[in-house]
Amino acid sequence: MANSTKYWKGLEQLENDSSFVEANQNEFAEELPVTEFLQDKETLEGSTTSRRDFLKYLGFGVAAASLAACETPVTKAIPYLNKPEEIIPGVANYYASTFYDGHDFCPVLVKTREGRPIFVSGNSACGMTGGDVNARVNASVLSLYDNTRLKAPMAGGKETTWDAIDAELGKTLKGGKNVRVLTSTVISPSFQHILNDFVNSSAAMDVAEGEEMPEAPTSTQHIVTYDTISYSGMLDANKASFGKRAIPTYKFANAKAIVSVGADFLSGWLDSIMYGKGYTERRKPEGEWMSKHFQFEANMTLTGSNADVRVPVKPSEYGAVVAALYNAVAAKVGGSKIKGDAPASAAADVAAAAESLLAAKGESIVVCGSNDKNVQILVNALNNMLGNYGKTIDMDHVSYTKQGDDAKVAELIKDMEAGKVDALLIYGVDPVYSMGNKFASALKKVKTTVSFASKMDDTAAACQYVCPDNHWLESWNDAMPVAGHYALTQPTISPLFDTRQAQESILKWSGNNTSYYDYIQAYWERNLFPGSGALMFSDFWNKALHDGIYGVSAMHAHAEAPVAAAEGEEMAMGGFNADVNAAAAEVAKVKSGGTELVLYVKEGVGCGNSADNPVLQELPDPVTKITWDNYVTMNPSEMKEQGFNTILGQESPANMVSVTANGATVELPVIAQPGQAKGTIGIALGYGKKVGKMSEPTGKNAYPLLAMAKDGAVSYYTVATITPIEGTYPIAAAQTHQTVMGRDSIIRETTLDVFKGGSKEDYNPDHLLIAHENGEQVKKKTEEFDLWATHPVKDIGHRWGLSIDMNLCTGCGACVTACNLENNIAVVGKDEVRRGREMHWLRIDRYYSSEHEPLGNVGGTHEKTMEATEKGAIGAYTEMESPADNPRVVFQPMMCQHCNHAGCETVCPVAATTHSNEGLNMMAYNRCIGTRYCANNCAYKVRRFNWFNYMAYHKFEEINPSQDDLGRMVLNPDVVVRARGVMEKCSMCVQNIQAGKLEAKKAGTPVMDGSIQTACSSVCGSGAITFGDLNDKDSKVRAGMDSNRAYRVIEEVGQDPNVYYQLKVRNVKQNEA
Amino acid sequence: MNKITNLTKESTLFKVFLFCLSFLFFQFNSYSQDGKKLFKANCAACHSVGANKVVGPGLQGVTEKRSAEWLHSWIKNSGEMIASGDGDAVAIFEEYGKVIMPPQPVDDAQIDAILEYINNPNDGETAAGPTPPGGGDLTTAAPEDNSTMIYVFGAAILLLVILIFTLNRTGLFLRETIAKNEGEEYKGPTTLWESLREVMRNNKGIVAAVVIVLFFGGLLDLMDGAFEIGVHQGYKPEQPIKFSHKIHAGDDKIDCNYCHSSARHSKTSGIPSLNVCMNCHKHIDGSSGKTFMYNGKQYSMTEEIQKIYDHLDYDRETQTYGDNPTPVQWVKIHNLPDHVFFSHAQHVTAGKQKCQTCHGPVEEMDVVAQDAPLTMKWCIECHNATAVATEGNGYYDEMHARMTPEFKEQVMEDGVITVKEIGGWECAKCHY
Repeated sequence: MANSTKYWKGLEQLENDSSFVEANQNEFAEELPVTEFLQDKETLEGSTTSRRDFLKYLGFGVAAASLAACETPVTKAIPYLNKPEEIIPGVANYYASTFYDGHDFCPVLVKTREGRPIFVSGNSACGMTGGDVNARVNASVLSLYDNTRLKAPMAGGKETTWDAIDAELGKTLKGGKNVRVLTSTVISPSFQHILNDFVNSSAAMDVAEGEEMPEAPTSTQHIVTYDTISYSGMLDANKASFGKRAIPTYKFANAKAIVSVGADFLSGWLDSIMYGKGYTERRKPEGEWMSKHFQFEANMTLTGSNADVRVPVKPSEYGAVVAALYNAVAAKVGGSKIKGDAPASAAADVAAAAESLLAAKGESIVVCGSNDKNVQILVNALNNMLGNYGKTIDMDHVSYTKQGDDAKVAELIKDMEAGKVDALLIYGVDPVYSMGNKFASALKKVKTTVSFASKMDDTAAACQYVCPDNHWLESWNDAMPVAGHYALTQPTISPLFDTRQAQESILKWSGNNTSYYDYIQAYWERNLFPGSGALMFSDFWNKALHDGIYGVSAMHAHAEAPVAAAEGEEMAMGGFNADVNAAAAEVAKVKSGGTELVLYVKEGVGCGNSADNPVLQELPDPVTKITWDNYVTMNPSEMKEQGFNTILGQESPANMVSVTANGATVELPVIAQPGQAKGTIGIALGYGKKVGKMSEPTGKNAYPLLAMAKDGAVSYYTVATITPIEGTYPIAAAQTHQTVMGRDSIIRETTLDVFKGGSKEDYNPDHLLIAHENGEQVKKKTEEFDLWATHPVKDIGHRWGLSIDMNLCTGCGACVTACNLENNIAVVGKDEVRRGREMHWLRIDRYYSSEHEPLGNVGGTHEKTMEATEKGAIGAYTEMESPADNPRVVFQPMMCQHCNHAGCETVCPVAATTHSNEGLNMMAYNRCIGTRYCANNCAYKVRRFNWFNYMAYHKFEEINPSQDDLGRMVLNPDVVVRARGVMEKCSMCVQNIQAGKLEAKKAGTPVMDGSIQTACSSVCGSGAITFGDLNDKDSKVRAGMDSNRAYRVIEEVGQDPNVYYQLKVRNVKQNEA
Repeated sequence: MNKITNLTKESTLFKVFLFCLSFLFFQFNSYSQDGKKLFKANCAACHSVGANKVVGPGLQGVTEKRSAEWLHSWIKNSGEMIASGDGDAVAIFEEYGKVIMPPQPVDDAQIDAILEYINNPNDGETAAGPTPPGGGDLTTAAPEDNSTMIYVFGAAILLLVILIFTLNRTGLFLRETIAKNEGEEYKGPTTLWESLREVMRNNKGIVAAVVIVLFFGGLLDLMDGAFEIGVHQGYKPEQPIKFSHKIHAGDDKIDCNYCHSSARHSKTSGIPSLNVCMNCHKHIDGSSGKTFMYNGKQYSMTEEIQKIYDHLDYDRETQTYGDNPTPVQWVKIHNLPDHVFFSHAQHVTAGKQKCQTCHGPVEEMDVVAQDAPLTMKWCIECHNATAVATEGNGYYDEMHARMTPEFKEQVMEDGVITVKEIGGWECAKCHY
């Protein structure tokens, strides 16, 4: 029915009487005093309730319950009064929009049902992201329905009205006062224009062709850009190198050799969504060529886990690694040597990396995660020497998504402290949280402070006025992420609360009463329409709005046609012009000392913008698999030396340590991270915020540990002291086992030379089982063993299946959040995850290699181990259990395998889980009685049991957004919300399959490949997860199944899954890594 | 839950009465019917036959206000008349926002027919008839009364009980008297209860049999009752607006899909929003003052149609919408449990089922009642019996191609592919 449809059980609910609400939250109508009753001997003995009475009550209870069941409430159906033309109740609408929060930029497609946005996926029309999306963007739809958002503007801590705010601020902000605006990076040309008008109305100017970002007015100190995660040093280096303070666009799709020194470009570094898309394009071993990726880093990052060669180095050595690479390349191309040598431990790998770079001159990329200007100048010089500019690195089409200037921020704080600032407007950032006291004390000296935060964050709490901004799904906006490429954000729902877009507020205070929508339109009409070639502005605008992007797709075409590298060719852009030797001399001064701390951002909560999102908090970190917390990562062998517990489990909590750096101390649990460079520790930023209705923040805020470099840029590498403290901490890890213990039936991986040179038998042999026939041992394929007749799904009708390419899977976890949101999966919280009761239907298993798993040799691992360790089986297994010091990492998305011989189906006593004629393993929740036999018999451990009524039980009230009337709005109306006591698991998004088939039947055509998508495949921009009909001979998923790399997990148990994996191929030589 | 089971039936008498009435008026109809048809085709989009404005003025009494000649030339080409400066024409032109009534492609005879119809718009519309005296008594048949039967039955039982009691008393008295007369001490039962116990003692087998039958009968009844829980076949709630499907779908023959338009596209059939009602009811505004039957009671069309306007905050005179609309809270009749996914589009568009297959003869119901039990048994029995509408559908052609010969033989044994055979009995086709 209509979106206004509401059902109520009685007047209490209709009126939302507080007592009713309370009663409704409780699973039991009143608290049962069971414990008290049983504890108190007197009451127990004094009780007159006999067994007979008990039975009587029981009988009455049963009768009463059955009687109650007979009552069916009258439900009302309330249609629209005037149905919007585009809405058909029950049919989803999709709108193109754009996500940008200062950290991530992503063109998206928003799915709405009856006017409610419920799912965000990538916009494949965009050439830069190619439909890719990350977990943060995907899960951001949840934050729209966050009831802890500010519901009205506030002045002096009290709710007020917009009229009152406008009257007060309109007066205060006028009249030659020194007004400053502190913003996150602004990529909206219209907003930039508004800001310029606001701070300097006399200097306002129109921008000619929309090619360049409008320049800030002459008095740039008025607008200060602050990125929570700073790239200031890198921007300054680019300014010094090329005269342009901007981040280039990197075309990883064109790079045959990629060397990253501490840059986590697949997860948190710059425009990681775009990079991930380009990177995975060249990770298919079947392709013309496969990129070779070296990673030198301290923390085990997502990018490092995907690298072909990963070398642990300390952050203090990053500069030396870059210098050594520079020297190695310079020696070959005839450049002069600069100061700096490779650290001894990494010398061989640096040489190998340099060799790869030289072999791919003009088709390589060197990136570095350091925010040190000098290191970045060396990186620029190296890329320049390799001729990468204009080919894989584009300084002409610069990226605008990061423009922060730390020096300007420091200047602003100084001015604030000196009392020079009359008013400060803070947009898009939470500096009190991320800069701490330094900023908070300066803020007190500012007379008028205004925050546009949509939630009461630390900064908003310290400001006099809070003018809550709309959620991005309620907003109009435009964006220019990359020069010449535009994107539009359109609202998909009316503002839920009395909030107003910051842009509109600022417009109003500048005395302009235009709506922001009109403003953007006017801006586009003035600046973009003339060059578009469209006849009518409305046509141009509607097309851009429909596509969500304008001019972006051209970039992709560019990326797909790399310009052939010509020797010694001059670059198109202004040449590199920085003093390499001076930079090298500065870099060489960096000395290592003590324990080095690397502060990083996680895939889940990012820089902290998404920390209040429970789905993202429960998303396991891709590498550590830990949820809900930040922690200190440390190399396990170092931990053992210091006596820390390295094994996590329900009964084995982590030790606590205190980490002190730059005058700040945080106390955190310490966990083992194989691959962590020795002498370094890592801590994630962005934690220490409250989630949902939680009374305590989760994790600790690590921003105070940040160091300031001499030139004012924030440094994410610092020296810290780590001391053990009393106490332990129960960590909630979604995966506690580390290796596959040599079982190549779970993970298969090989090297590129074996894959290219060998036959399938060499890298992906059939699984053979031993049988006895006539007293003789014979080896047979698993298909030949059968207990039961098989389900007739092969080549009959549909056979839905997944094909998962482990070479393309970077482990980012967007599929996990997408699955959660699509299938109404409950958030269960830290305590339940710790007990192994997370409800994720789709998880990404992360496996480390052990010392005894030589790469590229399939099979026989156990024998090899026994040989190597000269131990018996048990000893060998113990060794295999622990990961190597610098292990290889494999990510394996794992969901219900929809086995044709499913173990779960045969043991269900009530036939609640059965097989469909389309190859799906079905789950009828209403039939399930919760024996959990199926979960026990599942070889893949993908079944989840509803231990509690997560939608109502008070334990989950704080963390489960679905316990809130507003939070429930995000639930997918096509999927049942499961009750307590039933089993659930991946349905392969059967709701989408049914809908897709129906569309085909209605149109009278066969189901087109790709027209049906599961939630996971719809957000997997890299194409690692492909869904389709295995019986469709032309489908992508069939191609995956027929590929030489295809295998099925634990094939030997003979469950005949419908999910095919494609084994991992590393671009190294056999036994090299 | 309020269950309405007594269906009111129109009396045969009423039907006969209607038939006679229509016969009576028949001779006057022919001319006017033409006029009606012409009016509907050419004029009804902008004019009503009443006094109310639609787009143009209401035409009630127009033949008295204007001369036939004037009307003829106006209808044929009003623009010309305005241009020529006819006073009345210009006045109307000004009054109606300077919008010219487009020239109508009708000849003089047809105009006459239309005018004739405007003068007597109710000719041939006998359904309303004159309002019978004394409210709706004449036309309302008394609901079928079961109470008499119950009284008779009850009285018979009472009589039997009295009879048994009396006979028993008499018997006891006689036995006691005999015993007394014979000088023996009476040991037999003295009360009805004692005599009953004596009978039961003497017939243990029968008593046991009766008890067993009663017990298992009761159990069976309980089970049957349990199966009825949540089944609301025949549920027939009255709606806030007395919308009669009989009039709309039956008499007026409006296609179900016209109002329930999403049935073809979506899982829900969709309850029409009031703007759909207004497509017609902007013109049909109930000013005729007719009445209609709903749930055995008589209602005024004027009042019920006014409810639409009230909900929309619509002013009939000025034809404007106000700012204070309120939603209509219809009572939902067909309630499927939340764990069932049912798609109308699947059944209506892909399955080519008629609405009546599940909803019953809605076109005969003034108040819609739940026709089917909506139990899973009912669903799957139909899935077992119904052939899939594969004809000419490319989807099924492809599915046919993907059948192994053995499978095809198994499925096509009886010559039809039923819904069950393509998986219509599988859990995850409806439950997810």
